Amino acid sequence: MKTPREIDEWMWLVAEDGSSEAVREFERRYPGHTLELHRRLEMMERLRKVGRARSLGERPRFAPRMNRPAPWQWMGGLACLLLIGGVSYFATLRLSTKAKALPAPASMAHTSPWNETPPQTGGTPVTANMTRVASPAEPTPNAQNTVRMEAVELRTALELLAAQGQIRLQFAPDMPNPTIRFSYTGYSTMEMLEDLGRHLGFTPFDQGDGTILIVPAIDPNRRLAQAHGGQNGEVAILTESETR
Amino acid sequence: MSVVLEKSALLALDEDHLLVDRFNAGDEAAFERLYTKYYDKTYSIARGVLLDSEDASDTVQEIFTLVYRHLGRFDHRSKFSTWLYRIAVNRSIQESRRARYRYKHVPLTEAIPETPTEAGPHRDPKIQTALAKMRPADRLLITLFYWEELSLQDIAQTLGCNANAAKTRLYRARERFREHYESEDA
Repeated sequence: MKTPREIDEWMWLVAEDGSSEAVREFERRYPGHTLELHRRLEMMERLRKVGRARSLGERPRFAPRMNRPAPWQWMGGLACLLLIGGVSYFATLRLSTKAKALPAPASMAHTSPWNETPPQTGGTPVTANMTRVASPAEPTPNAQNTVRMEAVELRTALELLAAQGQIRLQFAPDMPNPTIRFSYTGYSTMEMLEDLGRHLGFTPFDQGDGTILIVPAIDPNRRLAQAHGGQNGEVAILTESETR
Repeated sequence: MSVVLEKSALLALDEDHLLVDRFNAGDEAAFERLYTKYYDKTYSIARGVLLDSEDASDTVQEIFTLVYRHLGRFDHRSKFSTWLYRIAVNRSIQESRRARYRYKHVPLTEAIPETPTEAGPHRDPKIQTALAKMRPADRLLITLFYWEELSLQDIAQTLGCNANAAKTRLYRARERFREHYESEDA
């Protein structure tokens, strides 16, 4: 049977106090709970006895302990190092991938009739069927190039020049496509296009977005943007062909 | 009388704060004084939670090392003793969890018995076993109230709760202790 709360609380107070007077008064009022009261009295007495008798031992001299890093601390450091290593690895990998993704001038040799020759330090480049001598590091429309092509169709020649100069070409309808031969030394791509246009009857219009529109006509009023700074240029038509 | 008591409490409070300030200013001896003054009480808290005197002694050193390192952060808003006891309670409970894990992972032949085996005239296996079966937080309440004879107000400050909450928690802990104690007879 559960002891009523009021009696239970009083019983605890008496058991904790332990005075004989309080015990007698409780026993007088609640004789039915005497046994339980004495159990609690004994329990409290033993508990306190253990508490009183416990020794505190000798007080050791205080010496601050060395701060030993917890496992999570050095693991955190290790994780940081791994993270930094990983980031640098992937950053390097990505940069090298980007560099590889750039159109490599050498690959053109496989897809086009270009033949690579080592950069010339002076004099005339070695003549092959089609020879290009250019600086691969700067394949831009303004880079000065030395190009020589023999027996090549105009359209193919223009496309090769565009690939080298990293520009896109758009051809207007009725563009002639003769087989030609040309040679330029120290010309930029745009200068070559302008000069080829003068000789072969077309005009390259810079669209401003990296695209050059090739129109098969010459505007008599069109003024060349600037005189080319090329050293030498030569163009010859070998065979006339049908327009495309 | 009460004026005198209040004055002495105020002096003690001021003395602690003074010692803290002196230590923070570089006086190592001030910390020695705090250590000497509060060692016994801190040890009692640790022992109440851990039951084992060696573990308690070890934990007290860790507690004072923590206090030594972080005394600069003590903001004087509470009594130094309250701040210290709170650290002692938290650290001891933390250590008791670690000890329980440690004992779980030692071979059976090396495992410590359920009943603490401390020798001495105070040894009472029934009480010790009942205490050992309790949760550390409950055991702490019992030892602070019945062994250290701290008031409910002091216990409340140590635990960081109000006096009513401390009273309720103490009564519950006492009831659980009685259950464990009586189960030993059965």
